[in-house]
Amino acid sequence: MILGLFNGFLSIMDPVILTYLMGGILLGVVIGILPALGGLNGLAILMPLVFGMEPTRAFALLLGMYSISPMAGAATAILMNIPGDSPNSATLLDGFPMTEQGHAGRALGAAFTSSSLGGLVGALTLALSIPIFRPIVMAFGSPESLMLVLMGISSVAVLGVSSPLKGLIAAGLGFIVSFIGYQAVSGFARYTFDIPYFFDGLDVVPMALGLFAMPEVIDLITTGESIAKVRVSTPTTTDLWEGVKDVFRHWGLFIRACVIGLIIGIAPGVGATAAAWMGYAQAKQTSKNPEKFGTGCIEGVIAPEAAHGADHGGGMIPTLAFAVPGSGSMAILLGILVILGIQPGPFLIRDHADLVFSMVAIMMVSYIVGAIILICGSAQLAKVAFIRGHIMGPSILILVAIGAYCVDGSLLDVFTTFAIGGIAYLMRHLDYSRPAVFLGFLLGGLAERYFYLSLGAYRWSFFFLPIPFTIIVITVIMLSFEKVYGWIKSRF
Amino acid sequence: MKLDIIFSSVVLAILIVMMVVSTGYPPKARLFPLILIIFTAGLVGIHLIKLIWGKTKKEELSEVEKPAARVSWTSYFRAPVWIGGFLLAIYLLGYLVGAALFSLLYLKVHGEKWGMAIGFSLGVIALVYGGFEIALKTPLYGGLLFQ
Repeated sequence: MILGLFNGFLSIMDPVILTYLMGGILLGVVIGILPALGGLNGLAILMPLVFGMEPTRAFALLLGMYSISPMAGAATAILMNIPGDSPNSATLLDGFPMTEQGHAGRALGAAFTSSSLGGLVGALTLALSIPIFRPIVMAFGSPESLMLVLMGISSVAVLGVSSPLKGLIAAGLGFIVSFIGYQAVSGFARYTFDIPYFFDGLDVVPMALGLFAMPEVIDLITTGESIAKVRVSTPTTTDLWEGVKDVFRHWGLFIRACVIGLIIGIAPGVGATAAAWMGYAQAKQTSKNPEKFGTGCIEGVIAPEAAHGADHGGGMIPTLAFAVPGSGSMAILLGILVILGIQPGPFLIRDHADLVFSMVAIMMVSYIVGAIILICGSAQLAKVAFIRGHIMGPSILILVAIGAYCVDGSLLDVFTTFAIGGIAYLMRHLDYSRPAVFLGFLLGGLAERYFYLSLGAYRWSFFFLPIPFTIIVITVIMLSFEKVYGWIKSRF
Repeated sequence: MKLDIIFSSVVLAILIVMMVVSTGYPPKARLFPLILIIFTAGLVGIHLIKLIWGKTKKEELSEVEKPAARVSWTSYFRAPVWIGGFLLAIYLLGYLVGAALFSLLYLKVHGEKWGMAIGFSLGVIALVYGGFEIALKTPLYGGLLFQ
């Protein structure tokens, strides 16, 4: 593991890769501060740029952005009471009151430090888990892989959403969209209705851009408002440094929050936002002064930021080990692997361990460099959020249109992206899970392949093999736990 | 809720069409899709029944999904008009001219000063021509009128 991690660091010590990494970090700062975007949308928008790129460079850009985005989003949450990224929604509960009390710098210092250290904990855990998972994945064949895919998709569809039924419908729709085009098994063209554009099926990039980026564009154009209007105070260096020291003063809280973030990250389908809120909740429950939470308590900033920082590394464990994404962002990461020609699934860690260690190294460097940039530049950060909404709208629209066109040099991809965007906007309005749609689409072909391989080798009895059956039982327990627990609680 | 009923009904109709179309495919091509289509159609049916009978409880907005903005009814036509206009501009004039003109028009209509609008449009031209055509050697669509 140590040698692998060392080689990972060596592999990124290349001027070109470091340039991509710095570019990703700076993009992450901008995307994190702008409340309309966030890491998930940032990944979707940047996805087309990595076509044909060498994988390490691609991940330097993308993971550099993704690692820093929620860290930067804390600035908007603390200074303006607007979460820059959805995991920052817990941070503003105590972060903004601290700003109102004139302690913005302390809150920012604590947020950036705990988020970056939490991210380092997550990345290290990912590196430690690679040697553990490599022998485990060797026990996985087609039936096990199929069950893992179905568990991952149903987790994303059901957990952390307001309506599990709608989540499953969304996942089913994603699966069905993936069936459009030539089937890999039989070579038969399905659901194309003799339209040549559909013979190769829909591409990952128009789906990602349409599902995630376009609804934000439509929102910006529809509301036509500026994002932030609040006057912001400038944080002082003394205050910032005090916040940095606060994280080390509350090291027990920090560790507990990291553990929560790691567990939530590993659990498929939950995501960084839940990790942040659970980190906040445990901080309040374990505090000597819980009544102070919500009034400007530094623990209320440290805990959620540490939790969602650790969640990043934790979320990559099931994503890279089993192609079971920890969150919607991880689902897009799987799409990026596909674009780069790397098959996601249990054998990724076995066949591309060097790439995985490079990703760990990229994340670790991102967290350190990103924290330094944010702490040093915190006085100027807030100005980015004052970019008017009607400047952002066309900016993102043009980027989306260019990105969609770059897929295959066809305007049809642009039209498809915008059409999917309209449907996705409606789905968001009606509370259907878009990550579930995307994941179903992404893994539908893989699931079908595993299904036919399993059927060919074991007939229908593959459902009752030990590992697949265990995964089915775990999935059923995971999906029904909340309902059953609620029923038991109401009875007794 | 009305919109959800319409959306679910359309989805169910599409799924039924796909089910019928699937029956004409060879066995290996239709088995897995049919399983998923029937499963999804069943879920949509249950959801529709719950909606129609008014038994769906009010759902809280998910923390993962961003809440839709509170806007007036007519504002919802703004986006399709602008986006449709943008697509038309790209189709007819290409990325270089179409995107720049769209940016200029959009910013001026939304009250930006000429300096900002022209500067932004020049930035778009720099991105499309300098960034993609020159630096990345990826020429973008030139426009129907210029072909």
